[in-house]
Amino acid sequence: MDQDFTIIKYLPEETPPKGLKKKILNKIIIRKLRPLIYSVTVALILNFGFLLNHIYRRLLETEGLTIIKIMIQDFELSFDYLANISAGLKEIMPMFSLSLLAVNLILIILVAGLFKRYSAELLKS
Amino acid sequence: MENTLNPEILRAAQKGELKAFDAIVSSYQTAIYNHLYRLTHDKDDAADLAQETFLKLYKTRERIRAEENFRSYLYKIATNTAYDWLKKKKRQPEDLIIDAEDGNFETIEAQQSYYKVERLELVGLEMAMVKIKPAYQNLLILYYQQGFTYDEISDITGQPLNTVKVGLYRAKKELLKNIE
Repeated sequence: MDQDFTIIKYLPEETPPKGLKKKILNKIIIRKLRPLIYSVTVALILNFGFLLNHIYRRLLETEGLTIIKIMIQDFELSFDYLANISAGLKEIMPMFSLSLLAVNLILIILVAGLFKRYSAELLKS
Repeated sequence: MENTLNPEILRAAQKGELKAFDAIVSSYQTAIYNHLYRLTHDKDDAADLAQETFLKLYKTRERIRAEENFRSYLYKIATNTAYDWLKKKKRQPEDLIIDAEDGNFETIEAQQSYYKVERLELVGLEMAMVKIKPAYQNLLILYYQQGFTYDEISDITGQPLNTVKVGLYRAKKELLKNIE
């Protein structure tokens, strides 16, 4: 009589939701790349700190902070004034380092998003 | 039941090769998803747990043995993942236990005829299955639908062989009660 239960074999199967395989493989890929993602994150944070320090020291050297303070105090909403300010800032600010800092910041935000989305794969052992 | 996957794929999976995992997920995602759906009764939860199951498989890939029963190993991970989830949800933890205190059970042959099951339509069976304990459902599905042996189920559920046999007997009894 035991075999009567074999009807269970024919219970309808549910189809997995679309994209399940992709989600699973994405998680596995993220897990596989975990050491690389950790290394890149550490490098980005160190680079961010280094760039910030570099820009701050450059501003101290050129008395840029004092100049920026004066610019803010005398602020006017006119085209000539804004043109002068941007020209002045270009001279005192390390523009290349600032661009690198912006790129670095964008990358840190992207990595933070990756950590948030795949926290289970990246943060749990 | 034998592994349906080529041993080469399992060896590649052990090394962490993505192509091998692609093949494994393709072969087993439907079965594992259904197994988890039967335990959770929720499609979203089953999908989440399926993802967790395959991720755990990747994390423990060194333990994959091409010559051993990979299917049992994967089901074991899925079952444990579902049980952990059910415990976290505090969903009737007693439902996860196979009652087998005395270890005695009557043989099926000695019992009443199971003609009711024979006559039952699949929809009715599905409804009756939902009413029984997840641990019992699990046993019935593993044995009758997935074709695992008692030994394999014992390995998958982590229960002694006799407990599995007793559990399966009680699962059938419970199922019949719900059909009535």
